[in-house]
Parts: sequence; structure tokens; C-alpha cells
Amino acid sequence: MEQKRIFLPKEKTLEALKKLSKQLLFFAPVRKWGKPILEPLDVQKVNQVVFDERLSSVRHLFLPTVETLFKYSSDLSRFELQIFDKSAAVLGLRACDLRGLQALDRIFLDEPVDEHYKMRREKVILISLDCVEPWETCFCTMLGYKPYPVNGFDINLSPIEGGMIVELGSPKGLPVFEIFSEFATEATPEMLERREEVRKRAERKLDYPRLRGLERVEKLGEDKWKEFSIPCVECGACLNVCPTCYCFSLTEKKAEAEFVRMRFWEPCILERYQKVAAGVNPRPELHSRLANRMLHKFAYYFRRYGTYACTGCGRCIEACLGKIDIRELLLAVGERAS
Amino acid sequence: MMSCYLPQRAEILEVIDETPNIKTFVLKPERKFEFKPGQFVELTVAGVGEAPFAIASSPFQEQLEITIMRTFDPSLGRYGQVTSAIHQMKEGQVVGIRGPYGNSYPVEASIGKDVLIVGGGIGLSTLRSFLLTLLQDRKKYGRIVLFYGARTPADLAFRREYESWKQRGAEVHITVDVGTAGWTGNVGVVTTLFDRVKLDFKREIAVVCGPPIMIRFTVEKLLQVGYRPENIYVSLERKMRCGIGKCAHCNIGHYYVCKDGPIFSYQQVKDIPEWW
Repeated sequence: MEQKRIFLPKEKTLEALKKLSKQLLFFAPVRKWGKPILEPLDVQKVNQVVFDERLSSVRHLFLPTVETLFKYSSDLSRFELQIFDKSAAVLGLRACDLRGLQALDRIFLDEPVDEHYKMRREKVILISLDCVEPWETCFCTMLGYKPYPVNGFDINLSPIEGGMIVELGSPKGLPVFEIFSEFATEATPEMLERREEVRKRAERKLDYPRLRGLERVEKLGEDKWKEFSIPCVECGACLNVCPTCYCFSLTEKKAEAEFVRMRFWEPCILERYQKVAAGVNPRPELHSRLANRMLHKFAYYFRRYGTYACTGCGRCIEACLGKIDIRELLLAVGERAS
Repeated sequence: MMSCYLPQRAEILEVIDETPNIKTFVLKPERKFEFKPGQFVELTVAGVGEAPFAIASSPFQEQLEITIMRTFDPSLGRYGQVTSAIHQMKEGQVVGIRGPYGNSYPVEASIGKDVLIVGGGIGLSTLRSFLLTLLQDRKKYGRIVLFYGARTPADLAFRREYESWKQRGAEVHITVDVGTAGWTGNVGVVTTLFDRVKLDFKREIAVVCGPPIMIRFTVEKLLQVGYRPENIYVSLERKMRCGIGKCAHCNIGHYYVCKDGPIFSYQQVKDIPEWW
């Protein structure tokens, strides 16, 4: 990879995306119902792509809300696997979404490998974006992260005046990079300098102390969790928008002469989540389920992988009907690193 | 292309009625199926669903046996879907199995030691796999003592086998919570057996499985009579949905019951408030 960074002028962007959408299955954010939604776009629709808004979820592209794992005959003699096998690209991931996928990778690509997830990860080219204007609920810097992609992307786009810096992050991104190259010019040192300025400005806006030791959330007593859970109405919105939540369940559906095994997201804060035989529930109280969710992210996951299962995206704060703000909890628990 | 969620086909060779709501299914998996005592399978009843069940047979047996209780969920007002459906099944029909999953009982650690096995209700199913494994090589171990309790005499699982276990060198002590007409054996919860049977174990191992409350009281009793936390093993139940440490349903603190368990030493879990 001799030239990893190029400049795509604003007036050429649409043409580049049009070409991209002709060559592979292309997902990008468009405005729908007043929100940026991830949609597969054909060449007629690429003009609707929004670059300056944040998707509420990208995870569902890799771990769908509901997905068929396989179909099987009633005598269990024939199985038909459902595995994603199209070449695709997705635009619109933020640095937090990339970190979210890295968090999921540790689960699903670990032995035994989850082929359903793995194939999507292998087939889908990730096109990420710098956060030029971080959102109100963003707090990635609190966890020591940057509001722009550092790794984990195949292509990254950094908006600067007059266009975007296109950066190649992996060999997998090469086909997309080549398409962009056709419409791009050289990225001059001045342009890269400007990118740095934009990035620094975004970082300054996220003025939080850098926290460490969040695994000490495990030390909090039951009273604290009871207090924490008072505003929770158990809607599960925080789990639906979380880039690192991955709890799922398996279920069955009857179709024609066969059966279907499906996987679906199952929020860990719902009452039924841990119920075992004869209705025995190891976590009957909401506060213990909410505590488990936080402990999973900051203590259990940390113990296993040495990093938190939280990307600092703040989507859960935005989504919470009860206005629970995870930042308050983390500021109370964590120790200031600098 | 493979998927870690695909079951293999297993034919039901025989269905044995153990109690009014417990049946043993003798299975013949299509492919070679190797396991260790204490492990479990995810069992599919076609069109109904999949649920985790312990393996009841020992690895030395030719056939795979799964002993299943039909359970009633009072909060839903209905029987468990998979357990109900499999209880309707007959020999010649097929089920799907995935696995085996999970860790195993401390067979190696039991060599040269006295082993106490304490079971409650359907919990005896997985313990039977361990017991039969020990009996296979009887002389390697010290005393092998089984304490087993069920609600009533009719609820005692594997009743047909107690005699043969005794003949093969196990001390078998049975109790029921409530006696019925004709019952001349012990009455009382399983922990009352500690007062009736003399245990002078020096280098002892205790293995426990049963309903949550029974496990809790048994562990308390074991600690009381001098067992050390690292020598007490509990086989725990959680909702192991995927069985392979991914879906996160079965966590107890930072452990996954499906991967790090289902067998834990009490030492491992004693400081986790939600262990039971």
C-alpha cells in the first residue's frame, strides 16, 4: 500500500458512492422517520446518504436482531445453513462502533467460532467516519478513546473543508479504496494538517477526566444498585443501541414442511432472562439484573479480556426513558488517571 | 461450511420410566460421541426447541443416557415445552444433540480419596454419571458414599439401580421428605443423613447436585462437619442457551456455567453472592 491517504473532493463524493453502490451491496445512513437509519442503497438512493449524523446501531448488521441460523427437516436428517455470503460495504461507523465490533469479535470469533458472525465480518467492508462534532452524550475520552478511528477500519473518512480524507486501513478495504481513488486527488500535507486540527477540536469538546479502575464497580453494594435502578422501566432500549451488547437466545419456528432455528437479541435486564426449569429465577429483582449488566461490561469482561465492554458512545444515555446516565456511575467509581 | 449451533441426530433406543415425571432416554447418536462425567448436551426436539440436559450415563457405557424431568413453571402456568415434548416421545423417534459441553467431575482428584455424593431429586441424573465412572474403577478410590433425597418414595429416580450400585461397592443412603404407605426407609431432607451415617473421612471429596435450596443447605452442612471449600464441588444449573460461552445467559459473576462449569468447587463461587 504505497498511498494510504487520498483526498475526495465534495463534488466527487456522490459519483464515488454511485460507483460503489453498483459494485457491491452498500449500506449507509439515510434519514427516515426523523432518524439516521442504516439501509441498503442502490445507485438512485446514494444521494440521500447523511455524513453528519450518528447511527443508533451498526451491530445489527453483524448480529441481526432476529436471524435464521439454519433450517432443518422434521426428522433432523437435513440441515440447511443460512450464512451471509455477499460482498458488502457499510458506511457510517464511528470509532465507537469499530470498538464495539472488536468487543463482539472477542466473543464470536473465539473458539468455537460463530460462522454466522464471522462470515459477515469477513464479507462486509467497514467504512468509518471521524466524529467532527461529538454528540452531547458522547464520553469516549473518559475511557481513554479518541473520537476518530485509530484502528479496526477498512476505510476511514475524515471530513475536512471541501471534502474528505480517505484512508485505507486494511487490505480488505482495497477494492473500495480503488473506487475512491478514481475520483480523488493526492492528500497534501496541508490537508492532513487540517485533519489533525479538526480531530483535536473534537477531542477538546469531550472534556472528561480519563478514568481507570472501573472494574471496581464490582465493589458497589446492593443499596447502590437499588438506587441506580429506580428510574429504570425495563424497556431494554439501552441494550438495543449498545454497540457491545450481544446477549442472545435461540428459538424455533415452524415453516412449511420444515423447522427453523433462529437467534434473537435477548436483553439481560428482562425478568425472564435467567429463568431456569420450573420457573426458578436466579435474578428475580431488577436491580440485580441491572447490576449484572454493568458488572458484565466493566468487571467480568475486563477480567476476561483486559478491556471494558463499553465504548463510551453514550447511546444508552440518549435512549434511556428514565434518564439514567452511566457517566455519573463511572465518575463515582473510577479513579482519575491524569 | 459448519455452524457451532448445528445438532447431530440421535435415535431414541429406549424410554425408561423412572418416576411419574422423570424418564430416561437411551440415545444412539449418529456420530461418535465422547464425553466426560458431568458434561451436558443441548437437546433439540424438532419444532419445539432446544434445552440443556445433563448426561446421566458414564463414558464407559455404549449408549448415551439422558434423564429428564418434566417441569412445571408456576409463573407461566404451564409445563416446560421441551421437557413436555420429549416425554411424549417413543423409541425409534429422533432428537438432536449438540455437545458435550462444560467441564467434568473431579475424577482424577478423587483417586485415593473417600468420595461423598449428595443428590436431590433430578440432580442425581448428572451425579449418576460420576458415580458409575468411579464404580468402573472401584479400587482406585476410598469409600464411595451416596446420599440421595427425593420428595416422596415415588419420586426416587434410578430406584432400579440402587442394589447394583451397592453390589459394586457404593454405600447408598436414601431418604424422602415425606414417607408414604409402605415406606420403611429414612424420612427427612437429605442433610439429615449426615446425622444417621457415620463419616470419618480424612481426605474427602464431596460432590453435590440438586435443587438450589438443597445445594445451599448441603454445602452449609458439609462446611459444618469439616469439609474444606476446595473439596466441595457443586454442579450448578443456569439457562445455558448456547452452551459455548457466547450468549451470556448462564453467568454467575464472571463465570459462565456452560464453559467454566457446570461443576465448580465451592471455593470458586463462595464469594459470588448470586451463586445460589
